[in-house]
Amino acid sequence: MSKRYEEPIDVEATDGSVEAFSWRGKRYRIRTVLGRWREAGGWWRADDDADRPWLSGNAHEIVRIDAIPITSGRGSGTYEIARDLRTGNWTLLRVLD
Amino acid sequence: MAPPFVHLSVRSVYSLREGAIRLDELVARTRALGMHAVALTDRDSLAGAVRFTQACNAYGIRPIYGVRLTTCAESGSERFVVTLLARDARGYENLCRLISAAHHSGERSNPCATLADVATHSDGVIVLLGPESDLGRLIDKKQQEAARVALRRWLEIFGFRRTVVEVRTWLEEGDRGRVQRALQLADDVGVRAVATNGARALTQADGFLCDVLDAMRKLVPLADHHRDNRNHEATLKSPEEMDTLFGWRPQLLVESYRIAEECTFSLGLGVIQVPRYPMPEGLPQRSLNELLAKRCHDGLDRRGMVGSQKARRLLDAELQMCARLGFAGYFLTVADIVQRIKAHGIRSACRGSAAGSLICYLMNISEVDPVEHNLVFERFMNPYRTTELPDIDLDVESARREEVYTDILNHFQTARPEGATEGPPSGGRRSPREYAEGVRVACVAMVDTYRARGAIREVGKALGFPEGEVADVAKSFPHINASGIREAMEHLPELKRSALHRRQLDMLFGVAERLGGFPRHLALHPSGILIAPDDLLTRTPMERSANGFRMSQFDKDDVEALGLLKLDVIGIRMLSSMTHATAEVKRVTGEVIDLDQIPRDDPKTFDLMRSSRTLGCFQIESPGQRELLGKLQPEKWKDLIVDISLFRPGPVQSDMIGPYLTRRGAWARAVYAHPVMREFLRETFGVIVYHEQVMRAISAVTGVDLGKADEVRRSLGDKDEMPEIRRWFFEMGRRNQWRDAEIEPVWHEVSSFAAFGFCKAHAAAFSVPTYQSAWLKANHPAAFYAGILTHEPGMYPRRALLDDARHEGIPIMPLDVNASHSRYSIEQHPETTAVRIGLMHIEGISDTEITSILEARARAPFTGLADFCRRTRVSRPVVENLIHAGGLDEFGGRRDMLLFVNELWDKKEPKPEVMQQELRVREPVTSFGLRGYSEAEKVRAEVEVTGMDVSRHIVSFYGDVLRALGVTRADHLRRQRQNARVMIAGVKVASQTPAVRSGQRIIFVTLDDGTALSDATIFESVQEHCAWTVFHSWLLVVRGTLRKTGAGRGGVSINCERAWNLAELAKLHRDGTLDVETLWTEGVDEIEAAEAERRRTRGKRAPAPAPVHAERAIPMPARAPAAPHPSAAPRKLWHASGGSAGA
Repeated sequence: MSKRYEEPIDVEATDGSVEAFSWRGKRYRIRTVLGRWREAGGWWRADDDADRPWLSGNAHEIVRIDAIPITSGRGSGTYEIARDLRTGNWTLLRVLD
Repeated sequence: MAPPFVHLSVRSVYSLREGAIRLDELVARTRALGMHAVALTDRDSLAGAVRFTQACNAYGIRPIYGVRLTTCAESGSERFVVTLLARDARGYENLCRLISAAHHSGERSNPCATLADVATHSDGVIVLLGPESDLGRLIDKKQQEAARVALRRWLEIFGFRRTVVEVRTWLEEGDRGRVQRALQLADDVGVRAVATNGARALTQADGFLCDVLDAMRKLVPLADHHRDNRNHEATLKSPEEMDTLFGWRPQLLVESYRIAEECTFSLGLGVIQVPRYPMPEGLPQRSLNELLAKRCHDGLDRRGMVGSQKARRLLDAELQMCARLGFAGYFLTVADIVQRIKAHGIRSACRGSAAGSLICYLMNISEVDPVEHNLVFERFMNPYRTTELPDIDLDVESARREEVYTDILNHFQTARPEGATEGPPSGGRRSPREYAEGVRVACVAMVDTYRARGAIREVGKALGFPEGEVADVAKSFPHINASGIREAMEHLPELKRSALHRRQLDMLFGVAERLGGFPRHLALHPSGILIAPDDLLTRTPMERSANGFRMSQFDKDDVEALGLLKLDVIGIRMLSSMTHATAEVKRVTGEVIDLDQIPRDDPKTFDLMRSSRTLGCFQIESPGQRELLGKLQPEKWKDLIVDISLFRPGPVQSDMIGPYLTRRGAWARAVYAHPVMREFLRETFGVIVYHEQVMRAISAVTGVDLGKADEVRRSLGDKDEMPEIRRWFFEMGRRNQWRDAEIEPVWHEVSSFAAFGFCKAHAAAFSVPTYQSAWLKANHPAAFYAGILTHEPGMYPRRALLDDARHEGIPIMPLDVNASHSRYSIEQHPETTAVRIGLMHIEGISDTEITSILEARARAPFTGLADFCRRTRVSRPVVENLIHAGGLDEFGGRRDMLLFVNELWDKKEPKPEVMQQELRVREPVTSFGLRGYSEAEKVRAEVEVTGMDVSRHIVSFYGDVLRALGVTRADHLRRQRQNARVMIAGVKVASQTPAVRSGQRIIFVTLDDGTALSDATIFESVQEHCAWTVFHSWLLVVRGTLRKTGAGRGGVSINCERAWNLAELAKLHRDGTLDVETLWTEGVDEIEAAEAERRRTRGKRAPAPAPVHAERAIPMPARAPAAPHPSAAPRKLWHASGGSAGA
């Protein structure tokens, strides 16, 4: 079961390893990195406003993490966050149960 | 420091629709990244091997040859892919055999080899078991035990030294796990392991090409789930990047280096491989020269040249050269092939510089006497050009070309190797030993690359754009390479009207353009045949062409680089036409004509040429050629050779023809740069026309032999080399006792005209069928027309040929079911011989129907419509077409008969009760009182059904409107003054849109109004007004200004301003609403203003268009008629070529 969001987030990282992120005003601490991979595609949908979208390929690095919201008392969850390799911006892709 | 690394898994553009790496880029980048070797592993193909080798040699990189072979456990089971690398020559040979095996099994474009095949051909080969192998799949599914079993099976075939587990990570989800599991297995079993990157694209920026290729290959729109890759990581990564991926286990990278070291095979290029000729009666190899000499001396006898000192001396020189170069086997082989072709009764002719060889003449390979024509064999067989075999090209009858191929391909199969065991063939698939047989002959491939239109269409589909829009956009491009899309775009105003918006078009073009030069298809080269000294399968992999011919994956250039003999066997329709003509003469009169023995000085033939009545003849029928003949006034065969040599853009533009003519007409004295030149320039009145003359001039001054002289001649075309050549020329001349003042004028001649010279041997070879066709037209015109109407060899459509026949006074007998044959035939009448229209071009008719007509008629002539329908197997639509076009006019009125057809047919099926009963149907057909066809209707029907206006020239029906408009007759155009504004009209005979260097689109169109042909040029500035009409109309009126194409040359062309559909104007005229004045004045003001502006800014007139005639290549008519379209011409009756955008 998962829900797709695609919302922008802020990520704190040191030396390439991600430590925490902020989504919808809430901060989450990353406990484990469950997987890391790259995707490139969707450039053909032309909703990318890059100059020639096919050249950057809309490439993203995707990290699947186990993270826990810092302030609220809730337990950890599995999240997928994605970094746009062209702009460097992070997005929250999905929340998995 | 990153460990050394070599990419062992690379898919280039030769992995059709799968790989996106160009070969030169591959090698260049390998070097730039500091790697010393790279492998080429295309899918089921080694087609890129030669170019790969050439690129590696240029960059100093070691080539490793491999293949990604589609394999299955056994026929029909699940397929997987393994990568095989060649360690040595045997390994390479086995790769060739395996690829051939894969392509010969099952369906043509779905190659697959079996494990049994691989086992048989595993020597010298290393196998990499990667993620796409059976091993890899099992590992993916986490079936370690099954994977272990699979691995053991491979070890049984290749052993521990040559079995390698291949790991790879494209940074996709799950990759890490797969790599771990694969390594675990490899370590467990003790098998080598190596890392690759499965490169498909050069860099990440090219990744999109793989996405698009995947979608194109699968014929689906781009979507994540249709791709083979989820990202763009499958690139040629640097050793540093590979270290980032596998640095935790560096042996994986080092192993790639070790494997590269083991693969030492290199494809040898540039060494000529002369075919071995099987000696009769088991004579040893070294006697090949003696055998050739003997046969040539027999030839001297046969050709009546025994007494000629000159011939003997020349023959000795040639034989010596031949022995020195080791070409005896080559000549003997080709002579055999020609002999076999003739034995089948197939007409053939030698083409090209081979005609300059006396050996060829004496061995009956060519019919041109080099002694008589003073030809030079060094032009053909040059000792300084040791890396290429001299090319011999054979023209054969087009209609029987495949027969020739099949014969040659079968004849050169060698016997089975010793030790091969018998056994049943495995159900349609060739067994391994069958392609272990020696195969010495094969056809050659031709790489079809993406052109603009095709690329736009396929990319548009992949991007999911609406098909109709994409098709419209594609059509506006001329027939250029995809890489020219951007440039062409600037000149296509239609694109502004497309429904696709800017961003979409940008993406479409940006992506499509990148496909330029990518192979999309390996086609059969239509004429190339490879002949190797031994088993071809040791050198080249084979596929099967669409019509089942054995085809090497290499193309012409590759084959030449490998030093293999390639014979070009070209199908020429004129040869079929001539055979048909002589066959008709024999059939009707009994006279047997041997075209190779006809007198070569027939006055009627030269008379025909002098009066430019050569439409339909080989090589000399174009408007430009006919004009040139008119000037040249040939009297002898050698004049014909001059004509053919001079008719090219160079001589025409630089006006070599003028001086030649004036000197020939003795209006000016021949001037020789030096007396010694007189000997070989006399025949052309002091003007350098031939390459051979240039060679002789160079040789005379510098003292070098003719072979060297030819080398020098070739480099004369290079501007950069000229100063050096000049220096050498003078230096050598001085050493040869020439004074500078003597050398200078010779140098001047040679340097100015060498570039425009033509190979006389080539022209002489061409002159043979040219003369023969003209002889036929002059002496047996009806048979000649029957031949060309049947085979359509030239640039003009059938209706133009028919019109010419009419002009020549040959009666044309119409379609008649009781007299017409399948093909065009001749009929003897008391005073004359007529041509009878054949059944073959009737719209919709099939061979079976034709046969049924001829068979029924042979029993008894047809007595009526019902009789015809009853006794033949002709379908209803074809019967209706026959009636409509007048084939049954004998039996009644056409409208009556068409109505009557209803009584005979029930929809599409003949009514049995009607067909059975002889008497029930009244014959001749009762008149229903319907009026007959008017003349115009008859002609229209003829055109619709046969593509020709047989009884009358179609434009002759438009006399009234043409007179009202003030249209100038085509044959009166020359009388008009330069820049006159005129109107011309006619049937569109041809249109061309050749690709022009500037990217501008220029449209050339030729019209026929029954009096002559006229040419019009449509430049970009007016295309908006004219292009559509010109492309979509058949009958045209064109208004423009007249240009004489160069002072005194007599050629005329119209610079088009406006164009209209003649039929539409005729209708307006009939209705009384034709506004003639407006037609003459429309747009004139703007055009004149624009012209004035141009003159002002440039200070001179815009350059006149280049002479249209000489620049145009002889175009090929479109063969398949388009489906009839109501508003356009009834059938495709004109020919369009060189990128007729929109047509």
